Formats: sequence, C-alpha cells, structure tokens
Amino acid sequence: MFTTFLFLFLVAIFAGFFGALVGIGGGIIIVPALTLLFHLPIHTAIAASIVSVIATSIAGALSYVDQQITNVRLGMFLEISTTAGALIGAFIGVLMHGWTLSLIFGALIFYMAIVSFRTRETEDRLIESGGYSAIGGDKLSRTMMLEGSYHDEAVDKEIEYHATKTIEGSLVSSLAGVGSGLLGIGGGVIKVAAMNSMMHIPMKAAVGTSKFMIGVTAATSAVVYFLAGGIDVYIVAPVALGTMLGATMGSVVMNKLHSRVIKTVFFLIMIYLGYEMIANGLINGFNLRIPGLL
Amino acid sequence: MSNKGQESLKSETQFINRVVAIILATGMFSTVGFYLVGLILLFVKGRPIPSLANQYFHSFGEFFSYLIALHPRAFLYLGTVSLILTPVGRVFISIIAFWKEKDFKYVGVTLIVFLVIVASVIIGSVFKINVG
Repeated sequence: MFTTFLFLFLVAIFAGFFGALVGIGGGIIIVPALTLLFHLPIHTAIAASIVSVIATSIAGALSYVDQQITNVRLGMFLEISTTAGALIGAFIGVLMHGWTLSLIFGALIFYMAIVSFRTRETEDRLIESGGYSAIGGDKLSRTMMLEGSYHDEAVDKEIEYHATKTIEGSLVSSLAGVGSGLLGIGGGVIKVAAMNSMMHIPMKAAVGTSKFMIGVTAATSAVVYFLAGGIDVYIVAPVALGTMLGATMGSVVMNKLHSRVIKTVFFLIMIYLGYEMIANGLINGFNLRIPGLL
Repeated sequence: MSNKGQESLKSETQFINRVVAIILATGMFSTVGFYLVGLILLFVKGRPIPSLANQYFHSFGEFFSYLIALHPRAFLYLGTVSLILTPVGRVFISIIAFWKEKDFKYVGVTLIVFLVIVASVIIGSVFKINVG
C-alpha cells in the first residue's frame, strides 16, 4: 500500500514539475498517467486531476497575485464564461462513457504537444515597441474596466494595456471551462491564447490572470465530480500534494534550464501518452487493438 | 478618467489582491495539513482502503464520529473539501471586497460566478457518475 502511495506521489511530482516547466498545468499528464500506469477508470483519473489542478493553481496564483501581474477584474469577468463552461463540461463528462473520454483526451494531447512546441517572437516585439498600450479597449471592456498595467522586469518598463474583442475572448474562454470539466485539465493554454492573441492582453498578465482563474474554474467542475460520487480521496491526496510540490519546484528551476531540450522531451512524452490514450479508448469502445509504441 | 479616479482604482485593486492572497494561503496550508495528517494516520494505523462507492460519508454525524476517532478517511475528506472550497471562498470574499469598495458592477460579476458554482452543487447532487 505504501509503495502505491509513494508511486502516485512521485508521478504527480513529475507531472507538476514538467507542467510548470513547459507552462501548462499537470492535468494533461496526470489523467493519462493514472489511467495507463495505475489502471484507474478515466472518470476517477479526471476527478483526481481536476482537484490537483486546484491545488497547483492556488500555489501558482499566490505567487502571481503577490507580483501584481494578475488582473483580478479581468479574471473575475472571464470566470463567468469559464465556470459556465466547466459546469457544462463536468455535466457531460459525468454522463459520458469512459472510452469516449479516452479518445477525446488522446486527441487533445496531440494538439497540446504541437501547440506547446511553438515559440513566440511577436510578444517581445509588442512589449519593446509599446504596442500594447497603443491598442484601445472595446465598449464592453471600457464599461467593465478591463484594463491594467504591470511592471515588466525583462525590459524594466511599466506595460499598460486595454482588453479588446471582449465577447470573442469570453466565448473562447468558456471552451477552456468545458475542457476543465470534461477532461480534468486546467485549460490555461486556451485561456492564455484567448487573452493574448484575441483580447490583446500582454503574455505575462495573461498567464498570471489565467492562473488566477483556473482555481475557480476547476472548483466548479470539482464540485460536480465530488457530489456526483467521483472523487477518490485516497488517490486525490497524494496526487494533489505531489503536483503542488512538483509545480513549485518546476517554477523555481524554470529559468535555469534550456527550454529547447525540455520542450523536445515533453513533446515525445505527450506523443506517447496521446497514442496510448487513443489505443485505450479503441480497446474499451470498439474492442479494437492497435500496436503498442514501446 | 481623472488621475484621482485612476489612483483609487489602483488602491482598490491592491486591497482586493491582498484579501485574495490571504484566502488562498489559508486554504492551501489547511489542505496540506489535513492531507498530511490523513496520510500519516493511514500509514500508522494501516486501515484498509475502501472502494470509491464506500468512501463517502452519509451524514455529518457519521463524518464527525470518524473525525473524533482520528480515522484517516475523515482527514483526507477534509483536505479535499477545503481544497475545493478555497477558490469558492475566494469568490465569496471577493463579493464582499468589491461591495466595500462600492464597485457594484463587479459585485454583480462575482455574484454571477457564485451562482454558477451553486448550480454546480445542484447538478452534482442530482446526477451520479457513470464510471466505466
């Protein structure tokens, strides 16, 4: 029994650590790890993952709120969309067959592997040229005071910004919520993309605000899973503690490692996990066996 | 917006950030505490692990009797509940914080988020999970 707990704990540390290094939550690794290594039903894995997402988000949000990068108002506003999405996602997830979830998850992992491999160069240019403060907010953004500023340490400048395309950004954010409820992930990548590329929020403010929102979004899904009888506290405890610890360690060493190597390793792990999740879904759903990768 | 207006927006933001940080820290430390106590009790006492279907407590009375008996499950349960409730508490406190700052637009925004969470309580209570 002790070894199972220790193993769960270590896998969770790994997921949290790697997640923090490549800038995603651990959920995308936790769910396949729990189903493939520990042979847990995918609903139990998703429920455990969503609770551990809350744990990492609290630890992460704490450091970001302290740094005054988080835009609390913007976060609160977008939470309407993300929690509504989370509620719908969890509702569907609770009722859906496990094999369907495996297939969706496998597809998502492939997508995330590719997305996380891309680099961002336009961001630095926009920061340097003061392009963010030049973009004015739309009407809804002005009404809801969705503006802010933060001190960017890299260029030692105060970066001012105003949100634009607020309705489009809200709609995309609700998809992040659905992902959280349906698959047990934080959905940070989707939220950051909505805020950064669509609403013109600087990357750092978008990441900080996204971390702030993930907790409430995940809690909405977690409430559904908890009350619907899906949360195994014996699994959740070591997994939540592990991801929290791993994510904290990851954020400490993040700047000292070469991101190219990390991204390549991460990419390979994701491709493997995505393939296995799809294989898992095909066996359970259609009794169809595809050859193993390893 | 006048300079004065921007100043007050800034101090308001800092106040809310402060309150939020306190809630998150309290929630995180209590969760870690409950989980550690629960896991240590589990290893010391060596209680068997029930299946998921038999893990839930059916009443507060049952929960308290397990808690007083220092049963590991009660503490693991408590850690999970405090973890889930931390962001919910953050939303609730934010309603009060925005209210005190007389920012009624955001009292409304935060209330809507809170209502969605209330809806999730209802959905979770009505539908049961389809494991498999």
